[in-house]
Amino acid sequence: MREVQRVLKVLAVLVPMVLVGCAPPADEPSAGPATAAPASEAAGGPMIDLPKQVGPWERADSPKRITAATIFDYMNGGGELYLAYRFNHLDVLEYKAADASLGTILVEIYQMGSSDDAFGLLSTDWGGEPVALDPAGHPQTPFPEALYGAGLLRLRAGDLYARVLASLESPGSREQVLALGRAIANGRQGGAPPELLSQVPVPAGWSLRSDRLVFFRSHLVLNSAYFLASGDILGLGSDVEGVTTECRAGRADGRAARLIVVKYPSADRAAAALRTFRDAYLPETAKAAGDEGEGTAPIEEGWAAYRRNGAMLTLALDVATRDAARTLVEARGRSGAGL
Amino acid sequence: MRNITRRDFVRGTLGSVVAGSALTPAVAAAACQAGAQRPPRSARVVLVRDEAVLNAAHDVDIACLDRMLAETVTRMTGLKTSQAAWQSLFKPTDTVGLVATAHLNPTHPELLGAVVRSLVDAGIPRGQILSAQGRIDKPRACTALIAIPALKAHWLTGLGTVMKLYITYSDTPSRYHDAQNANLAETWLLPGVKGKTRLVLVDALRPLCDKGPQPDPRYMWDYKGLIASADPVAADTVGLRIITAKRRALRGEEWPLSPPPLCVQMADEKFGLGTSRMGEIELVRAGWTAEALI
Repeated sequence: MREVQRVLKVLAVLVPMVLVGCAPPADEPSAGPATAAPASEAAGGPMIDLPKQVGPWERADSPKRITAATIFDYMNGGGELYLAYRFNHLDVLEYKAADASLGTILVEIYQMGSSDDAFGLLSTDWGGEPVALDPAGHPQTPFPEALYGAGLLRLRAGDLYARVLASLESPGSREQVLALGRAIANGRQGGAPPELLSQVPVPAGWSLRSDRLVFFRSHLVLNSAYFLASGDILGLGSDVEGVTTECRAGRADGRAARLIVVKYPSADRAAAALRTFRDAYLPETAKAAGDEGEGTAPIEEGWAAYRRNGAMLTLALDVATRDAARTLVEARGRSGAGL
Repeated sequence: MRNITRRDFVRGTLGSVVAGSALTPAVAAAACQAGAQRPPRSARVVLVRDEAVLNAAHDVDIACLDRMLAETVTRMTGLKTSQAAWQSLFKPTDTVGLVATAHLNPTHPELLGAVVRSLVDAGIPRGQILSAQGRIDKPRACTALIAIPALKAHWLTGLGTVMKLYITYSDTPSRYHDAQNANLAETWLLPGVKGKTRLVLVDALRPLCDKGPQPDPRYMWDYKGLIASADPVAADTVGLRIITAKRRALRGEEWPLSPPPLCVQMADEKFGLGTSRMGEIELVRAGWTAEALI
C-alpha cells in the first residue's frame, strides 16, 4: 500500500534523528506498521483463503490479524468507524510484484457483526462504479454490493466488508483487484439491505437520495454524514439502528430536507432518546407541555418534526414548511421502493 | 458539557457555545473575551506550486522539491537566499523538532528530507534536529518546532491539517473529536509547546479532500503545492479553502465537511492563535497556477 510505504519512508527519514526514549503514545500510535498476530494464530475465525498469486502480484504467507485491541495501532482514529459497526476483526494481506513499478495491492477484510454492519460501512460512501461480484450478474440497485474507483474496490459480502486497493491503478491492477474482490465474496451475496430501510417514510411526491443514504449505529457516523450535535443526543449504540438521507419534494433540484430514522431495542429507549433530542436540539419544545410523542418546531433552516412510534423515532429536519415536515414523519415506509 | 448542535453552527452563536464547553475554562474565558473584540491581525501565507514535482505515478522529484522549498522560505521571509531564510528562523543553538503527519495521507518523507537538508545547510547540527511527533515530551525537548502536516480532510475533526497536528500532545486526543475539534488550538498553547512553532509548512503535494477514515484515491489529487506561514491559523485557513473548493468541484455543488472544521475559526476567535479571515491574509503565490482553487 502506497500510504504504508510512505509512512515507512517517513520513519526512515526521522529515525536517524534523535528518537531515543520516545515511546509512542498509547492512544495515538506510532507511524510504524501495526502490531498484529498472524491470522492463523488469532482468535475470531480462520483467515479467508485467497490466491497466493494474482497476475504478477504475490502475497505474503503470513497475513496480519487486527482486532479491536489493535485497530488503533493500524489506522489511528479511523478505528472508531469500524468499532461503531460492531467490528470483530480485520485481516490484512499485501500483494507485491517482482517489478516494483507495478505497485502493490492491499487487501483488508473486515469481519463484522452482521450483514447490516457491512452494509453500513459501504453506505458511508456510495460513490464509484458499481460492480457485480458475480461475474455473470449485474450490480445490485439501488445499493450495489461493490464499488470501484481509482484503484480501490470496496465491497460487502454477507457479514464481510472489504477494501482492495492497488497503489498504482492500471488495467492490469484493476483486473486483479476485481478478481480478489470476487474471491473474497466467494459466492456470498451482498445481501439484502437492512430491514430498517423498508420503514423509512416516503410520502407521495417525495424522493429520497439512495446515494446519500447512510446506515449507522454511532453519532460519529451520523455526524460524518450530517452534523447534528457534538454529543450523542439520540441514545445511539451497537444495539440501535439508524438511517439518514436527503429527501426532496417535487423537483430533484429542489430544497433538500434531512430525514433520520432510528430503531431502538425498546419503546422506553426510544422515548428516552426523544427526550434527550428535544432537550438538546429543540429546547423550546422541551419546555412545552402536551404530547411528547410528536411535534414540530421552527428551526434556523426551516422546520423540524419528530415522531415516536413505539421503538421507532423519526426526525425530519431542514424542511421548507411545517406541513411538509409533519408529512415526512407521519408517512409510512414503502419497503424501500421509494429509495 | 453542553452539546454543540447544528443549530448553534447555523445561528453563528458558536463562539459562546464553545466557550461554555471548553475543557480549560480559564483559558477559554480569556480567549473568548479576547476574540470578541480582537485587534486586527495580519499574516503572510506563501503558496508555491510546481507541475514537475510529481510524475504520473505520484513520485516526488527531489531536486524540484528542493527548489520549491527554497522558493517558499525566501518568499516567506523576504530574504534573498534559502540559507539566509532558514538562518533567520533557526539558530545553531536551537533544538528543532519536526512534527509530521503520520497517518491518513502522511507527510511525504521527501519533504522531511528536504527540510533536514536545509536546516543542516543553515548550520543546525544534525543531532539537534528531532522528530517531535508523539507525546508532549517530544516538543518539550525542543527549543523550536516546524509543523509539517499534509493537507487533508478528517472524518473525526473535519479538517486534519495544522490545528490537528499537535493533538498527540494532549493526554486524551479523543476529546477533540467531532465538533469538539473547535478546541484543538488548546494543544498549541500547552506548556512546552506554546510559542515554539516558527514555521508551518503544509505538504500540499497530494492532498486528500474527503475525510476517510482511510485514504481513498478518488479523493486525492496532485495539487503539487507547498503552503507556508508563521501563522498556523492562516495556513489552515488557506488549506481549508483549497479543500472546500476541490470538494465543490468534484460534486458540482456545495459539499460541506462534516463534522464542521470549527477548529480553524475558533483558533482565531477563541484562542487568538492567528487569523482565519482571508481579508487579513496576504497570499503570496509562485509557480504553477492551473487549478489553484484559491
